[in-house]
Amino acid sequence: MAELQHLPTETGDQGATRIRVNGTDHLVADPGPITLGSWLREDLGLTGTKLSCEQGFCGACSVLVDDALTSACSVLLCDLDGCEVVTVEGLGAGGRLHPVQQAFLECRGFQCGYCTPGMVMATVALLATSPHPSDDEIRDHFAGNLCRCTGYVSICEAVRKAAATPSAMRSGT
Amino acid sequence: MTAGLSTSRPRSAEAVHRPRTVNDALALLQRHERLATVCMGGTDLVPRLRQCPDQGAHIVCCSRLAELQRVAIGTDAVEIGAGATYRALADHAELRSTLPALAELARTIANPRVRNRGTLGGVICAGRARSDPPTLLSALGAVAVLSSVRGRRTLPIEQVIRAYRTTALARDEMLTSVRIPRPNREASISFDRVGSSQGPIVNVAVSRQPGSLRLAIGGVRPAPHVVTVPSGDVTAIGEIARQAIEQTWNGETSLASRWYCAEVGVRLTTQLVARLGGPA
Repeated sequence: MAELQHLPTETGDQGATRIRVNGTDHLVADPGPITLGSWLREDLGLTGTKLSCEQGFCGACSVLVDDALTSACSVLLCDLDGCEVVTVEGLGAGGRLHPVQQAFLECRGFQCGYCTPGMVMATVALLATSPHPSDDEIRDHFAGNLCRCTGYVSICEAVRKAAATPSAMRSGT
Repeated sequence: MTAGLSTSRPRSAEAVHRPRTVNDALALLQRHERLATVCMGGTDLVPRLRQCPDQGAHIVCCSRLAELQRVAIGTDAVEIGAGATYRALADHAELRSTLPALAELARTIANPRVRNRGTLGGVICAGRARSDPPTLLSALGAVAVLSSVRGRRTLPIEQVIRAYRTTALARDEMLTSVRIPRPNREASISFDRVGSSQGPIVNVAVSRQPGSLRLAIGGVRPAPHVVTVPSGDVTAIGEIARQAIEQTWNGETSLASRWYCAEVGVRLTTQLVARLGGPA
């Protein structure tokens, strides 16, 4: 990543980790065995990424790592040297909601809201690779995002609404 | 925020290593031997670091090693690096045409997050009954390539897992690749399972060669059970599957009763055999 080259590049065996989060570069000296999820929440204060099962099942901690949907609870920070992470806080721009967030709001795609950041990130990831997903694709993609409140109907409506948003408006990460 | 370590932070590991090459990783395993654990994608290991204090004081992160991500399609065999993610396998055009069942499993396994980071090396070494790839790989006759500073050896996949969370790897060994004999034109393979995105209750893979069937059954115990069936009608093959399940069912690791696993396993087996055009 060209933008990260101004940071020290000597990572070594147990050395520093260079990582970009929501457009901001970080250099973490010898992070040790900390997960991405813990670091985001406790060191950066980005609590939008929720820790729930911490087994990689529920999807509440979903983030994008180099555009790939990832469980933040199941990856070590030090394994992400040179990577770019986007959390739910990194969506949207200029104080405006990302179109996916707007779709969830308009469709009431949440109740308690705990799974919602993960659902939103999963939707962003889905639409990046499949801009017009079928219902089967939506069901398959969200197999690993659990919600105890909504019964998933309003969530699926939000995904379809977001899919109907023009692509140019959706690329606001 | 309360001072001190969060309960979410893994506390069992003392150090995390990021070797630059496989040889560096093997040297680390030799140096730290009993205290070292290899981490590929981390989808199984990382959550366990928080829960299992005896997981290993030294974590050797190998997910970024390019040597372990290669997929080589040869004339006799397909060799898949232990660090190749499911996503990479699903997207590999030549693998899709050579081993379509494996590529399809990689495309649909678990959930997108697991597919983006999970690896064959990791799932085999996790030693869990709730796992699909070892069953399919066993039916394909695949072997694990195990490497250490002392050299290399191979082991059939079904022999790698010895018990729940226990493998046949020596403390200084790591699984570096999976080698799968390239199916000939007359061969066909099918796989199916009953379970959820979190794992199978029972899974069955059938590999049909002229004159024989290779049947692998998983989910009922940590290691797949493999049996070669020379011939017979579908009902007979189903009964072989039933006996295999009833004899190998492990109540500690199976998610369902012996009876349920046997009933489901028989149905899956007969359906797969029929899908392949009947017994050999």
